[in-house]
Amino acid sequence: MQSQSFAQIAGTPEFIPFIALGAILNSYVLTSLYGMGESIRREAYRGTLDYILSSPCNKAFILIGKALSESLSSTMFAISQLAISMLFFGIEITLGIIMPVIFIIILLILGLYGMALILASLSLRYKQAHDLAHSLEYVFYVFAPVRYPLGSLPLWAQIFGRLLPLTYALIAVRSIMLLKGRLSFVYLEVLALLIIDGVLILVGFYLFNWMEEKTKKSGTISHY
Amino acid sequence: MYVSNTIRGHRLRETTCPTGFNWTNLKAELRAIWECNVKAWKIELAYPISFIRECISPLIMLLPFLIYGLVLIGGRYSENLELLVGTGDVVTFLFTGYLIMGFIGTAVWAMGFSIRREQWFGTLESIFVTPTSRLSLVLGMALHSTVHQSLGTAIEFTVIYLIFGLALKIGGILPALGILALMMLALYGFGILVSALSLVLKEGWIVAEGLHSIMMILSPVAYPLIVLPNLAQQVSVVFPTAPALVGIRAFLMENYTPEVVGNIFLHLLALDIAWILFGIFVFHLTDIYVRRRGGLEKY
Repeated sequence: MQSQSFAQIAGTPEFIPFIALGAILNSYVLTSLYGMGESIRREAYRGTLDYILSSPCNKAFILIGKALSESLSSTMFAISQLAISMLFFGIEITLGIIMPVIFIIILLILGLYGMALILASLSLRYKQAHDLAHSLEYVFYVFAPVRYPLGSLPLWAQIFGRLLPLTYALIAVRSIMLLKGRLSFVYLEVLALLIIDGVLILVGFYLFNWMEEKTKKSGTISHY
Repeated sequence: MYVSNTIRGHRLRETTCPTGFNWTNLKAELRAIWECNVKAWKIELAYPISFIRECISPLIMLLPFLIYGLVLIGGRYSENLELLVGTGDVVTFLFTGYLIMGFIGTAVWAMGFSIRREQWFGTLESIFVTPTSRLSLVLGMALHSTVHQSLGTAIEFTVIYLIFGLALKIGGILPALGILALMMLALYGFGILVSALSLVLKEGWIVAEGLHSIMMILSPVAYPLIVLPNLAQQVSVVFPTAPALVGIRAFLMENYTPEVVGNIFLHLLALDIAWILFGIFVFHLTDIYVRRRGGLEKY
């Protein structure tokens, strides 16, 4: 269960734990994009969007509340995947490993919340954000190093991949769990994640509030 | 039997209700299937971005697995694969595998959810009171989805051929298409079964997802069948995808040694009959059950 050609690019010949970790972190992407990003659209389908948007609180926090439940289900899913990986594929977990990994996952989730806020704001205005969520999923599917290391992609695709929070989270988590590195070894990835999180959350909040105002003024909240 | 209606004295078009198995009724059912297909295309083309995205979806689904395979082996040719199936060309092996994968989705998702979608639109009861067979709705969706998937597969083939090149035997294309057609018939039976489940279970996507995953594991899409445990290999003969993949690869790939010995055409023909009859039987039973319980419009 080892590949030397894989090791030349990934730094580890253990390709199964490599993919298992990729799949675990990728599950957070899917629930964020479809769960939170489309929650606005779901409220519109159910006819409850008007009531939610007329409530006297910041609507972005309602979305974050929805996202929390999605994150909880993702975490349960991730724990089961991790348990299988530990039992069958030799992934080792210690307290020294799990704490920095949890920290990185929280950073990843924050970035994904920002992305989902942007999606939700677009679905307020343009209604069918489903396609956008799917397209974004394709971007993560191909350009993020879920199944293969980033170095195996052409340069232009690597640059594209470097814009995704999942890329940095995967590099950091794999460095800690597979290469037994410490958190200080991946400080650049953590820093990049923090910057991406900050940008995505700020843009997400701004865009959502702006789109909400615009949609209210245009009177198209309940439109399909 | 004639149905006639009048609105404000104007007589509407008279339509014969299809009853019994005869040529006229068959033509009416075929027309219903065609109209369901046209309706699905009209809805789909109303969202052009969605249409384009779904057309490139087969290519996007294949790409990561191709890159992963190339990275894992460190090139295009795998000695291990050659030892197992006689040919080591990973790109062609994976491409022929994923060619089938999209059609599994056709059966499970497009057909299986045709009824659920009508329920969401609020049009299921209206469709069910028309004098056409309920299966026409499912088959219309199957027709639309098969054409749609073929379009996506054509795009996938063109791009992969241009980027990687594919070592395919031209002479094997016709028999491979024959196998594909036989596989599709069995998958239609499977799709009818899934759509029947969505009548009873409503949120049948959990079952569909499970069935899709099981079929994917038991089909030699990204690996040869012989790497699966013996029990899994034996169970895989029940699904049309495993023999179809072996057959298609045998006709299309140079030096490919089929993992399963036997007549693929007869095997698929038997599966066609079995899955279609089983699918229709279960659909018929669930249709009666749901209407008796009055749960047709329930979510």
